[in-house]
Amino acid sequence: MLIKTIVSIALSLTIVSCFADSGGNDSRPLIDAQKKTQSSSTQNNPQSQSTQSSTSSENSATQPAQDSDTKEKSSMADYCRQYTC
Amino acid sequence: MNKIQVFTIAILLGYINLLFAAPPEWNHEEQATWWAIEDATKDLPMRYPFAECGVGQHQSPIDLATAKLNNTKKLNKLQSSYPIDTAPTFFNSGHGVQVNTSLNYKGEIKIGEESYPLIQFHFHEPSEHVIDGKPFAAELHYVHVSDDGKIIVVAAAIDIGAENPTFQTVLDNVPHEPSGKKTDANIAINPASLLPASLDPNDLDFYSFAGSLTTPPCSEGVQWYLLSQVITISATQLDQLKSFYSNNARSSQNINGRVLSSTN
Repeated sequence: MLIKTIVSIALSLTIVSCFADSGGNDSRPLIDAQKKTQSSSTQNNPQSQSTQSSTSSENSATQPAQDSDTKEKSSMADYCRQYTC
Repeated sequence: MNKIQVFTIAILLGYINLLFAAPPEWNHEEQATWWAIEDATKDLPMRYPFAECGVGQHQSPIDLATAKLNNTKKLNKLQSSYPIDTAPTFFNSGHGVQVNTSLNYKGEIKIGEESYPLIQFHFHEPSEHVIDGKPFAAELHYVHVSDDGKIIVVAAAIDIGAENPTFQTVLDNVPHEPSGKKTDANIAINPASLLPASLDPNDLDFYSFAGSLTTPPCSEGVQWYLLSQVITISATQLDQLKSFYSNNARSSQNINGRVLSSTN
């Protein structure tokens, strides 16, 4: 009986959790399928993949960071449309 | 407490965490502790998504008076092309007044051979960059993102003076409610016309330095171009801007040995 109760609680919470998850995505349009495959680091630090070193920035003031990934194009632009940047 | 009870409680706590998961909120009043804002849905080290605001060494904005100027190398002037956008989106970001360019907009700046499309522009009140501790009335940021995700911000200090008709179009169309957006096929905008008519968009003087986003997550790797020329809006327009957001400026960050380059 106790096991049946535990299983039923777990199932009901799973259903509630699914709804909660989909609601969260609605309010964060940037977390699309592409972003979900990326690391959480990229989600929270959109420019982190192109962080400059002290040396490079001082040597070339007109050149921004170089080591970005091309597939970031749409997500970075989308991010800056959704947030202040 | 037996193992089954412990297991049940663990499951319940896990689901409660999911149910109440939300992206971390921030505001300018608490900027000193942005770095400490927690995302309860993440484990360490991502539990502190804005940590860079506190530990970054190339943060923006800066006090230009604290930086050394590289006098040995003069940079080429900026070449900007900001044609009229016929379908901009006027956006209240929740932190500022913003205009997003349309997806097929062709406006950009060129740095060498590389193009940086204009994605949006927005305003801060007062200015974020200061000179010897003194801010300007406001500041305009043109945000550009290259195809490979690099960010360049062209900034212009705003002083009180002549009214700016293009800025008035922005003020009249940005919704007052946070997250509000407005796109009207009858309202076009020319980003270049925010700049003084006397200024040649293909011949812009500036100061350049390495920095970061001035809002969380304060990501570094952003190259800044602060225009030498100040632009103007009227006192009435400044009051209108304040009616949306006031004091939405980050304070000056440590220069940490950064050197300014310029066209002058």
